[in-house]
Amino acid sequence: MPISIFTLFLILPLASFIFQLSIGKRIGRNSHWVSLSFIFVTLCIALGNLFSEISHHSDEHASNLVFNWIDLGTFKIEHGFQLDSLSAIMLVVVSLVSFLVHLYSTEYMKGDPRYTRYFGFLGLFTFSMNGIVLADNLIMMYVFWELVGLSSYLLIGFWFEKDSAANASKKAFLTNRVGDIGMFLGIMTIYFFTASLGSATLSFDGITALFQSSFSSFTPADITIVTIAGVLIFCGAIGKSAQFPLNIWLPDAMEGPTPVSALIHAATMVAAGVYMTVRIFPFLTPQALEVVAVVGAVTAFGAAIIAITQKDIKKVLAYSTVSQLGYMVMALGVGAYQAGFFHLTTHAMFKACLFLCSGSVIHAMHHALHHLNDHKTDPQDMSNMGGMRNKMPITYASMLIATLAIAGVPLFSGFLSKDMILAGTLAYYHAHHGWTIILPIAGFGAAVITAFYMFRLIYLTFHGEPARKDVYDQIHESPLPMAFPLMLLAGLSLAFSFTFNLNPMDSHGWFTHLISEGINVVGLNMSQVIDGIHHAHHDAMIISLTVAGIGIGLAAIFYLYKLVNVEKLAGVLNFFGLYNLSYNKFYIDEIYDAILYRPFMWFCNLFSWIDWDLYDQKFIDFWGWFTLKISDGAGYSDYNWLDQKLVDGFGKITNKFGQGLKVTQSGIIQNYLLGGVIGFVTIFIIFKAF
Amino acid sequence: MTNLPSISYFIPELIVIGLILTTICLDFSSKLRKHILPVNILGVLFVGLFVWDSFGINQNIFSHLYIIDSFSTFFKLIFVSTTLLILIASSASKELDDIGHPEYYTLMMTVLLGLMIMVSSTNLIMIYIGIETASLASYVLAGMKKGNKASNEASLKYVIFGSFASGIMLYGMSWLYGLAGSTDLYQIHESILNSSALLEDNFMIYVAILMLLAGVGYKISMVPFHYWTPDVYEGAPTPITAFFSIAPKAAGLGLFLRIMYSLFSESGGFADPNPILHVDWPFLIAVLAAGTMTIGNVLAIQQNNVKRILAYSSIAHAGYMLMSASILSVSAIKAIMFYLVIYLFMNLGAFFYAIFISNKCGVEDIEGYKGLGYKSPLMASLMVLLLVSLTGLPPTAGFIGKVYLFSALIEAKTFYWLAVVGILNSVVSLFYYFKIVKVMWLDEPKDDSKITPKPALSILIIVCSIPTLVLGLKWDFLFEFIDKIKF
Amino acid sequence: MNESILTLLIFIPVIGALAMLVFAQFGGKENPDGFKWIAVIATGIQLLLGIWLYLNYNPTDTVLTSAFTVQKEWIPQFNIQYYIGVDGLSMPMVLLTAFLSFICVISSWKITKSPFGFFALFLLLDAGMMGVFVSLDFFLFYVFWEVMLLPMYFLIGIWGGPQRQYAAIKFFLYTLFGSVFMLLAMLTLYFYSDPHTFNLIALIDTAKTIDATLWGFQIKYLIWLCLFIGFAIKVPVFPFHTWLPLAHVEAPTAISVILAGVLLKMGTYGLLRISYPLLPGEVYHFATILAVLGVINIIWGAANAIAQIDLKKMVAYSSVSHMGYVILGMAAVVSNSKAGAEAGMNGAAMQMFNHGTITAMLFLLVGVIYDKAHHRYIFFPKDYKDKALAGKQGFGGLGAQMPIYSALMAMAFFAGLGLPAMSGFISEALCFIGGFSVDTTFAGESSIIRILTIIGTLGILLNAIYFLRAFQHVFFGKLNEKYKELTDISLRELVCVVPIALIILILGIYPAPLIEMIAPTFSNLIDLIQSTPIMGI
Repeated sequence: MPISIFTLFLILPLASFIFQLSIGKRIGRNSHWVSLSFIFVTLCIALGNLFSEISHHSDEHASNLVFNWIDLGTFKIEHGFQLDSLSAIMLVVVSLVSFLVHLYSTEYMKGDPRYTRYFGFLGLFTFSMNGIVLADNLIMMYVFWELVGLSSYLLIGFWFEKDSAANASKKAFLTNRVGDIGMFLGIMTIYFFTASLGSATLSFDGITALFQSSFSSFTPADITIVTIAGVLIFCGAIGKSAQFPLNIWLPDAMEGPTPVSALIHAATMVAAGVYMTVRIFPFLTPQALEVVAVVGAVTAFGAAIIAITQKDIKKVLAYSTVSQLGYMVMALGVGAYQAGFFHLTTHAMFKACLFLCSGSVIHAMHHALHHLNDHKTDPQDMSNMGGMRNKMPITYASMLIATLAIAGVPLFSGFLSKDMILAGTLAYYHAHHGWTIILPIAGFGAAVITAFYMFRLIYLTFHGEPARKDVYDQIHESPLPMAFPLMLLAGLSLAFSFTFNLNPMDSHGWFTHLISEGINVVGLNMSQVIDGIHHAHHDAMIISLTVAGIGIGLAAIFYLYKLVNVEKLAGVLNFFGLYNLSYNKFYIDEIYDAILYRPFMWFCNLFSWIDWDLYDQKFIDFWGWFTLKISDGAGYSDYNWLDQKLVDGFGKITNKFGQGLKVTQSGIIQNYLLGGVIGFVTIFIIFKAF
Repeated sequence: MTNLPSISYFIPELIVIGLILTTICLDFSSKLRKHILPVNILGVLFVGLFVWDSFGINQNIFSHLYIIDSFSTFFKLIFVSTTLLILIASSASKELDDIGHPEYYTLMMTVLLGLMIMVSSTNLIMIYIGIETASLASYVLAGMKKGNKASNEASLKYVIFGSFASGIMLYGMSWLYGLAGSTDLYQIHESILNSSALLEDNFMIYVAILMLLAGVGYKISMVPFHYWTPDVYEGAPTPITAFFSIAPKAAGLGLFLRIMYSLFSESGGFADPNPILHVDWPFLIAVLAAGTMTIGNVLAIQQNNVKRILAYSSIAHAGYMLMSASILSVSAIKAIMFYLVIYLFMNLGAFFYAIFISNKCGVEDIEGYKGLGYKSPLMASLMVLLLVSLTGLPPTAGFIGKVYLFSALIEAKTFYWLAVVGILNSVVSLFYYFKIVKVMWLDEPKDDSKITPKPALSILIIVCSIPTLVLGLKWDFLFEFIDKIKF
Repeated sequence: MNESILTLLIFIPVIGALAMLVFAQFGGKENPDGFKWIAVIATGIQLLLGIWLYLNYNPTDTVLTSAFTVQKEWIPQFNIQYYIGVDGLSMPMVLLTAFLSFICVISSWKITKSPFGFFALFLLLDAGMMGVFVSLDFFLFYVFWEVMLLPMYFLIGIWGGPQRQYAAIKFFLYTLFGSVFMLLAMLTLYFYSDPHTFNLIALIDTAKTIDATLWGFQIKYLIWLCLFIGFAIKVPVFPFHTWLPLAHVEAPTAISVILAGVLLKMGTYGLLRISYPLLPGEVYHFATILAVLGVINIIWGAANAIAQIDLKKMVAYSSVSHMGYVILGMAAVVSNSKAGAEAGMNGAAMQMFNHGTITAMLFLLVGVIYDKAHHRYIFFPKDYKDKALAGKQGFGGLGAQMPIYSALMAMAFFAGLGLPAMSGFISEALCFIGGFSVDTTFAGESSIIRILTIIGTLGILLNAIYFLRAFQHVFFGKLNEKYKELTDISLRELVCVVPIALIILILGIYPAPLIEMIAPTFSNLIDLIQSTPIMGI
């Protein structure tokens, strides 16, 4: 395929954005056809590219269409496209989910006063996301990285009349920026490190090739620099992929419209962090990867625990997303490169499906509540739902498939990818022992919990008795533009879609064929890692099947059959504060508020006070005041002090000697003279002393 | 040169004397009285012509009592132009309406004569005569508003302070005479240089210098002899104040330069960088300059009377010029002369504006200047120009003048601290000059009425403003002119 | 044309001002709009000339080879010349000045209080600014530098906000304080260089030979310090920055635009035009201090902006922060990495231009809302005179009420916080890259500038905080009932803002036009500084 075609990945969505913002509003609702068709074309190209990539796959790939962005002489930044299997798959994921979300939104956003603007923002997002995918170097990735941050900001805050949405959008942007600082520093570190090696470069291939050729001559200090650079760049991923400790923004981001959550905050943008880590994987040192693995493990496990107790259907999914992203990151950290990217892809499909399904439910709830004129009830709270499987069969079926996928049940895509990751963690433990046991524990533990809370969600929403009969009666299945994406994504959550292979335990297929098992040029022995994963594979599969079963079983006991009183259990757990700890998300937000935000604002106000009220008004203006006072003082002492006291005192003494003489004059002119005399004498004395 | 041939070089002074007598005579006839002003103006113009004509001449006359050189000629031109402008302004000033004109002009011419003698004398006696001639007439001029208490007080203060200062100076002169046995400047210089006693101990010279400084310092209102200035400036009629702020100051500086250079520099001529017998009087002057400009500027800040502000500002400007005088170099003298020309225009212009306002609004207080920018935009704009120039900002002549003063200092590569003090003073001065600008332009006028000055006054303000602007943009002809003066 | 174009650029506004004077005598009273038209025509011609200059400008020319350079005697005795020219350093500034002046005239269309005075003074200001950027003679430079102060004083003092008088005199005193030191430095340079000259190009060679001490210091260091005080106040570099918020807030919109858009750049321009080439050895020793100050500016300015409740004051403090990037980038000239030095220096120059446009857009937009709502509080102050409003949110929900305005404001804010695809990002990133490259200097000494830069990157976050916070409280949330009637931005205001927005976007995506204009000049400047032998202090 000619390279220039790939510019369409950027041009078409951008055109959609510009179109919607400039003339879309005048056309009104039908303007979505423009966006839809633009994205559809993008999707077609992406699919075509993927098929050609599958059919003529080779490991050789060229990064092309280089465009000289900044050229200062010695300092140059070039932009180019990276066209390989990774980007081919990612482009399909982005375009597909984007297209489906566009389609879904035509119904979901119907009647919104800013309907066209919404499609415009989706276009902007797709544009930026494709930019990240296609970027062949770090700086170009950073540019689009920030732009997806912008579109995310705009879409989270789309319903900006809600304060919660406005706050969430700001929080998302700022939290991401924290990570971006790290990423930017990392990019600079890499740039000047490569420069010191003799050829400054920021392109992924360039860095890999350079390190490959010079790794043998690295000093320990060099390795430290590369490690630091890697960890710093990874900070960007921590922000974008909502890894601990920057995970706080993603659940709040659910304030945006649900299709947006599906597209951006589940399937694509949050996965960009993982995608970026995949891109820089070749030059992440083992030490850096250790950090990556731990961050991923903590996130996967911690977020899963929080998800257990959430009542809001979207919050559950949000934490599940955080948890699954943690999986991907952990996978990369332990060296399971292929597994990490595989999970990214499968997750994109089933999580998009889950979100869109939840959107379908919320949409239905919303309409029902609207019909009942009830504006108090929260349409997203699962405790108001129940038994909806009868009313919304398509949604139920799709959501169930996706849930089975995320729970890691064989035949479904999540099983394949998760299994590989768990094998990776086991292998890592086998290779390193010691503390690394926490990685498999976190992995399997999170797997149990995931299965548990996802089925809790299914049971609470679709099974049992309706919590609100009146609402329940008004629930309807969503129309086709919403239902179709659900079905398609559910289909893509089947393992078959990724393997074309009916053996549910075998992950080999077109995907593994396309995506290599990764290389690492800075000290990680990939072949050892791959061997380890192969050996651990069998154990991992058995354990993961068991844990998935346990999780689903527990959920069924608690929520489907209600054999245990959940409230009571929660009460017991809460005796140790565990329930509240989970329900309140480990109080991370509160902790940040207390130790970062409040002190920070306090300091800003203090700085402002120092700067203006103290420094400027007191110190700078002091000089003006001081001069005035000097002037005052000089005038005063000239007259009152020198004249009236000193000189007059002198005069008074004189007066005493000449009792009989009456002073008829004012005395002032005499004082002037005496002032002159005293001055004269003073100078005389001073200069004689010199 | 002996007396008789000397007369031909003495014509300007003679014309002035003639004018004094003519004015007195014209006063006898009530018919002719109205011609006094034109006659005086014409006469002063003639004086100017003759003075101009004597440029380039370098001649000792009256047996070394008196010298006609370019240096003194330059100062005389300053006096003459000031007098001319003040004469015209006096006619337009309301303050002087009820004053007997004849004696006013007589006194003015007397001062002019005294000043001319001051800068041309090369003999201590002649110098003293010049100072006293100018001073005595000045005392009376300061008290011209007979019914006005402030004016009378000013006059009295002036008299007492003046006589005190000249007394000290006279004592200093006698001290010099005692040392050298002569009253001729060149001979004194010679004797001092050759005196072996002084070579061992230069204390005597210190005393003499200090005492002479008292007399000259009072004329140029140098700290600590500045006390009289604000009171006298405030009390005297405004045209007289304007006159005092320029002419006697210029004369004082001229005299100062002549005495210091010819007596207390090694070679006894201008442009000798070494002070006599290692007496570090340049440092003394530098300190006094710093003190003068600082006191002037700092005290001006608190003032609310425009005349008083200008009085203190004139002290400050004396300080700037003294700053350059502390450097023994030709370019320093040229810088001072250059500055004097500029100062003449900008300071007179500002005073003329004050006359205009006191004529029309009867106020001297800064409060009365509120919104004047909207009442007479053109004049107020020119006033801004003049004040900007006094502050020393481009593109006005005041800036160029200051650049020359600072240049002299920096070129000499000494007294850097004085330059720093000087520039900081410029910043301080901005505050009070712009206090006037502020009330004129930034404050709203009390009413919408418009005011316009008398034609003579508006012409005078414009005449002063044009060089203030033009010399800020193109001043090489003036510099060339001063450059040609031989020392 | 070549010979006279720069002269025309400077003096067209003066001619415009004179034309106004004539017009004021004949018919100006009845027809105050005439003044505006004269101003539009004068600045319009100036802008066209500027564009012509840009199109004919050859970036590889130095001022010595450029066809536009004019060198004529002015005051021969003092060797003062009318010496003007453009190179890569001044070219963007000339364009920025011409462009913003034109925009500002249009944005001041609603001035009713004596339009004659306003526009005439504005044109004089314009001439002064243009003069500063093309002068190659120090004396001429200084004259233009000071000439601007006076119109500025009146423009703030007469047409400004409630505290205008205080703001005006403070601005004047503060900047004069700085420039008198510059005067001292100028005269010292003149008298210590041999032959005596004010010619900035000739001084590059002759200033090298200055070798004297004063008060135990090399006199060159004192010159550098004096120059630095003068320029730092203009930039403004912490701790000389406090005149800025006051002046910016009190000035009328157009003047805030000029202040922030052009005047601040004069400080950094002066450093690059005068201090850098003339005193390269001192640059080396002061680079660390520059970097420290730059980083303090970035962080201190941003932290202060976060605490502001007045939109305009916030934007003013953001200028303090953004000018910090310029200073930091300039410090990178000592980098041992040529690429790093290039990035830093070019980044600084680009940031000068980009901040000029971005901040102009910000001030114009703040002006728009002020014109409509007559206040610009994000939150009303706690001691606000109307007790019912004190402490409350000033606006809210305008996003729905004024969609175009809020879109433009969003763009300006995001440009301000350094979002890619906007011009600010490139220059800020380059400044950081430059600073980051300096862990050793070209002379091989280790340097802490890299550490400072790492601290400075905190600015990336801080700048986002206040812009987003302001954006949220003004445009998000429920619509404030008080502003239900607010109309969207008018066509005239769009005409002002949209061209700036386009420039910001175009240069953000395709910075080559700007880079090509400046890079050769800075390459020379870096070579000049890095080839100077380093001596002890």
